Amino acid sequence: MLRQVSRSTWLPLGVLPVAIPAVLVAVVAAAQGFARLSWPHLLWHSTSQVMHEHLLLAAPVAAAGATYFASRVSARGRITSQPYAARAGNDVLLRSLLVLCVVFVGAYTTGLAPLIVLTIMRAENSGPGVLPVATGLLGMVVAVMAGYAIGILLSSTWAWPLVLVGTFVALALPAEDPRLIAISPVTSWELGLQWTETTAFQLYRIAFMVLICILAVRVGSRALSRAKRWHRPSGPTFLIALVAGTFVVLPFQLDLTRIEWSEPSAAECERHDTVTYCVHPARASQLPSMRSGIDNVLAWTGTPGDGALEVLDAALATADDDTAAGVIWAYLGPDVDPTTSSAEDAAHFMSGSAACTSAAVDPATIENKSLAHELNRALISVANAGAPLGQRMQGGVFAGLALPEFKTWYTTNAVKIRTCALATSDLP
Amino acid sequence: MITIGRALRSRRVPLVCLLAVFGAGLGIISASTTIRIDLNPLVDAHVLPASTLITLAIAACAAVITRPRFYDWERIGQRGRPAVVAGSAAMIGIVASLAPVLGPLVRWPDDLARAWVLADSIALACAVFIFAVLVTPFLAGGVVAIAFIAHGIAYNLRAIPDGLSVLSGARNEVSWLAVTALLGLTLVVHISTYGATSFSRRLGSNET
Repeated sequence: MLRQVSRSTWLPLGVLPVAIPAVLVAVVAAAQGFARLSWPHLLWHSTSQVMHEHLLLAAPVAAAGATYFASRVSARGRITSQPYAARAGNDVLLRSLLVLCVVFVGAYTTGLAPLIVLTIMRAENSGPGVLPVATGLLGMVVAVMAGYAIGILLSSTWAWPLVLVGTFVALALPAEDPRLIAISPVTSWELGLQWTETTAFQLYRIAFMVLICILAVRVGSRALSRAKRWHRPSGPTFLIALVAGTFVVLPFQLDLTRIEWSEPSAAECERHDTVTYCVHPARASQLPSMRSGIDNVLAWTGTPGDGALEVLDAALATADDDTAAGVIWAYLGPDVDPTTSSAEDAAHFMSGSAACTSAAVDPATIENKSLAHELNRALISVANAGAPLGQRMQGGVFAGLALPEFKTWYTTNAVKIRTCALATSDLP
Repeated sequence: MITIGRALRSRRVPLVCLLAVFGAGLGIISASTTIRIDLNPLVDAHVLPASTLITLAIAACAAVITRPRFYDWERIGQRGRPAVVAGSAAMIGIVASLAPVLGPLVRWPDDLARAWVLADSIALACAVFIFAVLVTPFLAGGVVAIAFIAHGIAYNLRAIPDGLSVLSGARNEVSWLAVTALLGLTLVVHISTYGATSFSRRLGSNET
């Protein structure tokens, strides 16, 4: 017996063909960022970028879903999708696209919601970047519209696996050829706090995506309203395609500036005796942990000759800073413990390892460098162990040395160590 | 009297030739582009040449273009001529989809690597054309593309034991015997079925 099915014009195929890809979109978007949820420090700077980086898996699923929807709803033989139908063309197309865009963009946002909520709770002194977030959401819309147009043109229920693979390969390509980053929302290259993408570069990418949207809707709606879907493009369509093609070719011909150093922001600083500790305002809460890490090392080495020492968060660096010029650079990340990592950075500087690679120092010998490296390791182990003074050093060239003697030895040789001039004869 | 040439035109062979020119251009432009699958820190990245992927895409397009449009008439017609048409259309399609390999052949200096790319491309094109008969041409392209990428990921994760892979690029040696056998199989499948099966016809009828 035939069962009468009444379906809304919003969901002509029922719920499943929209719901299954939507759930998949949410799941793959969430899965890609799962590890981040356990990071102690989240920054809007990186979460905003995640909004478009995580399109890598979600956008192909959305595009394939839209292709399937289009190829079913407007199959060439259907009586409801003939060119002479009253609503052929724009009406059908825009109604389907509205449903798909709202559902898939919603699913993508839902998948990223845990990360966004945690970022709202944990991020300090910063807000979401408008352009990166817009790029992410627009990327989803482009995927839906392009997938839908391909579905109309190919008009085969089995075109979606091709679209799935094709979109994934297209989005993965910028990892191989960085020039494609100019037109792809997935860059596979997350920028640290000290760098941002230039506004012009982001607008270029957004303009390209808008062009693709216009092209897809135009081709799709015109194909639906004529008997033969494959047709020589009209003048305006050809022109839009030409401009879009220029957008693809241009990055290969010109050198578009992608990255600029962030505006020097007012650093959060603290001064104790002669040492100044500064972090990026977005990491203000990590300042005490960073200080204790640095102090663990300074307790063994003391401060350099004249006493003044600067400890800077690497995110405060500017284009013309010399990384070895008497400043301890602390590389703080969202997924590392600030105490341990800044102790390592301080040990790197205090053991002379930073000076060994500096251009200011005379070419250091292998002997100088390897001794600096040994000292670096020794400093990290004594700083992290928080060892009582009675213990002895373990491992390396300092093995067996009592800790107070190590401290005295360091103070005696401090000048040699900091200029990367340590020789085997200086060892205790 | 319908000549073979006119029959081949029913399979849109001229359009396939145009597609081959396009593929050759694309292959030469992207000869040095590769896609690296690097999920396993313990082993080297698995490298897929872009020209192999373009070959796959062109093969999928060629299979769609040369699909048998007069299948119903051919089934009830004479036995000989449709078989010849089906076989030669498949061979022309495979040869046309190998045009992107021209890029590596012209621009790569390494003989062995060129042989890998050629052998793998032939294998992939054959796979697409065999699947095109069994499950519509569109689905064939998708299935082979997903299988190819999944194979790369599985190989990079060491999920496939050494030497068991079908592709020369992964095994570090070229088995021309296997490639020839695959070509023969494609020919046999197309000649014996005239380029489609009743199952694939129903699958592609797109009525539901």
